[in-house]
Amino acid sequence: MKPVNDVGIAGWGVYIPKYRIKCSEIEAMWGFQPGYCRSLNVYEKAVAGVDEDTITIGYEAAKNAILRAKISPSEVGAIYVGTESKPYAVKPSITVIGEALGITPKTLGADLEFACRAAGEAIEASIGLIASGMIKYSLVIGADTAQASPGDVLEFTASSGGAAYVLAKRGDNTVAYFEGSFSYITDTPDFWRRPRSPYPYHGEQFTGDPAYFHHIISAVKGLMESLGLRSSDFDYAVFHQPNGRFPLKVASKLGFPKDKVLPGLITPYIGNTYNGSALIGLAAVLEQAKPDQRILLASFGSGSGSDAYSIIVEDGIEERVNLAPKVKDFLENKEYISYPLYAKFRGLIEKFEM
Amino acid sequence: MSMKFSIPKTWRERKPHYLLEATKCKNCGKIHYPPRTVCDKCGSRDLERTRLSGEGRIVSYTVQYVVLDGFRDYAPIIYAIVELKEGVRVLAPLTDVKPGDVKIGLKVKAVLRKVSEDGKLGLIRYAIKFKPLEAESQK
Ligand SMILES: [Zn+2]
Repeated sequence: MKPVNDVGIAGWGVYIPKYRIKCSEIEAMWGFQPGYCRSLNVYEKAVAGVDEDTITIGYEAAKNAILRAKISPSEVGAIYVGTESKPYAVKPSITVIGEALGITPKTLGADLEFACRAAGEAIEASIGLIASGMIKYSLVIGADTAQASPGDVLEFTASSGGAAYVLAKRGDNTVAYFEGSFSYITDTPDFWRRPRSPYPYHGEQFTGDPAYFHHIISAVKGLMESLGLRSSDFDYAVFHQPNGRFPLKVASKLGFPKDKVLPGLITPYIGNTYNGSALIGLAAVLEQAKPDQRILLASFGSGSGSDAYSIIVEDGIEERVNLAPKVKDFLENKEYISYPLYAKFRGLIEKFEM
Repeated sequence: MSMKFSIPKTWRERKPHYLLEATKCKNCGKIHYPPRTVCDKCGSRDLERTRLSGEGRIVSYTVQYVVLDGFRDYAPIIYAIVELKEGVRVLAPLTDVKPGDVKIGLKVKAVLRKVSEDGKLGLIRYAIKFKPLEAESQK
């Protein structure tokens, strides 16, 4: 898809909680074969503190994105958070975030759900709103505190973190723009969570090929066909990162060498932040990219769908990098915690209270 | 299930709690946090809303190990008086720091965190807490 007027990125920001649990600790806790998580190319994951959730994580990421965009919060005309871990089942997260940032009341906004891909949908919707001239800036947040049943293999990767982007019309304060996008969605039973269930289920035989690989490959091929591009035209490729292995495998199937993927591959050090996953990877790439470089971004959400974007970096990006904490800063600022503390932080210990 | 939180109070205090909204006296210039309707220095009612920076230093603190019902997950809770750059003192909990690492004069910044939940069914309260600035910014 390509709007009549190009839309781009004015600012980006991430937030990753400081707590980490080593995957070897989870292996030992539940009696997995030592080295199991290494086979997933994941070494440790970020854990939200006891007082953090999708709202506080999304808020911090958004604050950093607004700092880099150098705009006044009141200029934001839409706020979206893509998440599958809303603190309230009913009561929007974005009203708290918008109020705390000083964006409300004259704004659009909603929490969107499509597993890990909801923030991808928010980008598409924002491109439409901005290109049509209905709003000036949109704030798109992807944030999660992902749930995993204790002892499930998902526990090695399900983590907490988020990323936020301020989008604007190309040339209106932007430092990169969307050259085009392509979305691909089908009904696929690879992963779900029913209303009162605390943890998701995954349809094991659907997780890889029919879900992640089929949707991302279809979206990326559709994008490259519509823009007349080949994998060699891209300088970086960022994919949704459910573990550290899948992005490298999908890259090789699409003809991208490993060195174009590694700069945006963050999951091995923080786990899968769901709606934050690909968008934190993109932030890491923007923090080292040079003007005129081309970036492929491909989201994925179970259920299933993928959005592929071609992003061209513009002049002025380098002077925005140091206006807010970088992905690298969050990776370095960490504190390891034990499984019992992790269990408390994630609410895995059931207390019976009068 | 009865709710323990006052819903109107939670709503009324959201701006001071979320973004450190204070009042500034247009007559004498004094800044008040939490916001006031009458200036406690000169008695003027001519006040305007202003947002505080959220950056400051710890002036005093106390560590609470014995906590009220519903706060055990957050224990120990460190409460600090923080003097902001604007000269205003704010009482708030600290976060992402252990009691042994807190000291008077420590540079901190405001972050938005969960402060309490009204059981499993009631409101979640969000408010400013302070966390230490990274080591390299302490000078
Ligand atoms: Zn006064």
